[in-house]
Amino acid sequence: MKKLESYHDEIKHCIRCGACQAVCPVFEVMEREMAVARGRLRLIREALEGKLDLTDKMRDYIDLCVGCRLCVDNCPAKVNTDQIVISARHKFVDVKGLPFLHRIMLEQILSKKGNFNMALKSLGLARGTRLNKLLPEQLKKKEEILPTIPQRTFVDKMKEMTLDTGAPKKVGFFLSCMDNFMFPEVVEAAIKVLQKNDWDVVIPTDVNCCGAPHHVYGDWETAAKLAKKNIEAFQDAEVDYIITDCATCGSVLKEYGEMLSGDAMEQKGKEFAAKIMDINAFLIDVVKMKPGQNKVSQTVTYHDPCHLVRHQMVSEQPREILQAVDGLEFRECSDADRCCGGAGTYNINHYDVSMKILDKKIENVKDTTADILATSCPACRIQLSYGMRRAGLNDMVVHPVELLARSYED
Amino acid sequence: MQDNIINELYQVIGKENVLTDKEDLICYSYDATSYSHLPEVVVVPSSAEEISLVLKVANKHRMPVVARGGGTNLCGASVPIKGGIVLAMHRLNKIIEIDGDNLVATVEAGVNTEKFQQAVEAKGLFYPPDPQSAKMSTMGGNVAQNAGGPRGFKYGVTRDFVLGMKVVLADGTILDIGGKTIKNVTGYDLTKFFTGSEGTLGVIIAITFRLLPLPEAKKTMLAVFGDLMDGARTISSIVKNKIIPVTLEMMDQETMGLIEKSKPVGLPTDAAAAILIEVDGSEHEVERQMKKIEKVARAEGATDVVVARTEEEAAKLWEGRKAAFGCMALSAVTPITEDATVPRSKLPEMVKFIKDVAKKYSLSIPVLGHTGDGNLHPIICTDENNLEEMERVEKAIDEIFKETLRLGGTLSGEHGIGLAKQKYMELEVGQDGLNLMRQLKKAVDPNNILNPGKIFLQETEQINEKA
Repeated sequence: MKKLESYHDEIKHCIRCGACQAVCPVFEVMEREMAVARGRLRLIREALEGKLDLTDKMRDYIDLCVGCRLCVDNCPAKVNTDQIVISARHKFVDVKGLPFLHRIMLEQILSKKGNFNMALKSLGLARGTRLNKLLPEQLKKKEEILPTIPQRTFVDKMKEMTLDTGAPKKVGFFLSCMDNFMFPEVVEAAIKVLQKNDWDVVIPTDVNCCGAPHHVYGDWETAAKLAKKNIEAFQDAEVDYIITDCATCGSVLKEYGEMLSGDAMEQKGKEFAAKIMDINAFLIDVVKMKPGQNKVSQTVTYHDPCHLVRHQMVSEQPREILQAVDGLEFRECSDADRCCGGAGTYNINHYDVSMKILDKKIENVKDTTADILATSCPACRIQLSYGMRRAGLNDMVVHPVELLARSYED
Repeated sequence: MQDNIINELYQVIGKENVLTDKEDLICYSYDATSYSHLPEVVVVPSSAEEISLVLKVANKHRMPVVARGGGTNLCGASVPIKGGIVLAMHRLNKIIEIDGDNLVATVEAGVNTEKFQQAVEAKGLFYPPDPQSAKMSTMGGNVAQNAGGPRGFKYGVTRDFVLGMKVVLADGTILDIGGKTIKNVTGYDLTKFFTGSEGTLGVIIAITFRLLPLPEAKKTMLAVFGDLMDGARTISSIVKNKIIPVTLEMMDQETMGLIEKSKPVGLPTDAAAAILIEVDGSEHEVERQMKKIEKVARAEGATDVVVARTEEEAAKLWEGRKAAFGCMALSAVTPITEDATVPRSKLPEMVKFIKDVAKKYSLSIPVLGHTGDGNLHPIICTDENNLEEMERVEKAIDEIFKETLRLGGTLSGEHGIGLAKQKYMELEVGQDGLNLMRQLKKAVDPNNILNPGKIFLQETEQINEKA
């Protein structure tokens, strides 16, 4: 990954035309110049030129970026603000270390599957005994964002599944933490859809967190360690494609080559990255999937995860899937490709800003009057579900493959 | 800044709306030019009353005050070069009224231009001024700078739509001027006095605009030329033939190339020039105008005339045009946009002159502009760190302005004077004109607290220039 210093020239190409103000979701709700690309780039430039110290306040402003890439897409000068922001965070980690809460989250929870599992189990326990009601108000709201935690993880469930059906083709599947712990049904649906289309699925269970949270918060060292473990987990899979239903995982898995640049495993990283594909794109472009005969008589709309539509340029395929299911009526949502404010743990770290962004999204979803909201990222799903509950709406948020799975006979 | 002034500001507007950390000040130190200077404090008001109180504090302590909307200024007018207070106007963002019975609308200064346009269009009404920064600019900023845009050719500029306003004077007086009537000759025309005053005469809080009915139909077409001069002549010829389309936007090859590199919208990059033309009116009138324009363009040498088939196709072409200024940043870190404007008949002469100057000083100067009204935007693509080149840039600008004035034109069609064009002011308005302007300024702002250092040249002032 590129160090912050190497972006100095690129930052100079921000001529402050202000085009980012028109699209930035954070600026839309905060209306302050430090909450938009132009302001962030200026702060970074002043720091690079020795006119501003790396202060806590500057770090806060850099952290306010939701990473949606809307500004990059809209920037006439094509300044890669999202990458520059990530490099700035890395600079802060380099010089000042990780802030305490990030350190706990990134080093102790997200990097270690056992701890992550335990944390979520504890949450389930706290909820079961209603201990969560005793949390202070601010924390209680944040805790409410998380969905119901299922009793069994996907890895538990997988022990009873037959993955090797002797199908002619096989594909690797990167199991995301969120799917494993919170949405095992999505993985089950993905397996069903693929098997119905004559593809076997190989799911290594010794994968780790994809490293996305570490990567975007500047802890590149841990991110690289995780990348190596994940590459090794697929070492013996003998597959040409590795798919994932998590837009965030997909976006960062595709960067393993750059994340390991200079490392002995760089080449392996590149090869691994080249195999990564979003499940929607894979089903349409490679599998050329055929939906089942079952009718799903409902209306559906779709939310584009930033990590899919702008980081991976996938937006048509999920819609094609939804439109292919018999009976399912697709309704386009206005501003479908605008950020939902979830952004991993952004909703926890910047609750108020995140909720304002979310409310705009939910209004648009509401206007479609669709029964179901589909999206292709578990992080968006958590946020959108919470938004639906907050607005008193039916919490019907699913992955497109879940709807597709319903079209097949069992 | 002294603590006592900050404390007074806390008292009148609340601590949470007074920003003094360096990180905050940096974010309000610039606009879309290369000038910058740190303010001492950023204040985020939400009402005329709050702004009045802030101005009373500022006036008492002789603190400079600069109102800032979208910060998209192209002449440095919103850069706080004397420090002091920046008023960030975004919280004043209410559309107060869209009055269809009287064809007027009243908005607060911080309302976004495009949102305002969309809101009136949703009611079948039309606010024509369309600065190309409309997605980011504010109505208060548009009025303070008297913004123009492509549609100025047919409909005029912001000034032609301002009927009334609420403005806060330097001493804190809140003043309502003008009103909802189209006709109003009661005393001096104070609304026009504040319009285009670049924040030097008062802080604009709310504005009442005249609206038009939304035209029944509109179409966009693109006339393509193998020679830039054919394009320039076509513009003069269309006007001579008494056709008034909404826009006549000419772009030369360099401009189109840069736009296409950043936002591929389908401009003919192999052509020497193209004119983006929009016509509106009744269906019948639109058809008639398009036919006539095509005939004139072809007679002047257009190699092709293409009509956008759908609204989406038209919108895409316009999206490219709107991004033009930003696209210059692909080839240069310091794009200097000029906005020399000449009488329409002189357009071909001026275009040729600019191209000759570019050659003479070995500079890259893509030319685009709202050419229908003689308003050219030569964009000098340079790098201010290249001092040798900057000298040539300076000379080129001098020559362009002198020629503009010789042809009976003006220094600025729509961007304003701010910092960028101060030194040429006297050339156009003369010593007497300048003196009268200074006297007017002194009469309304005797302590010179409102956007000091703008419009009028002050040799002694230090400006921190930076790309």
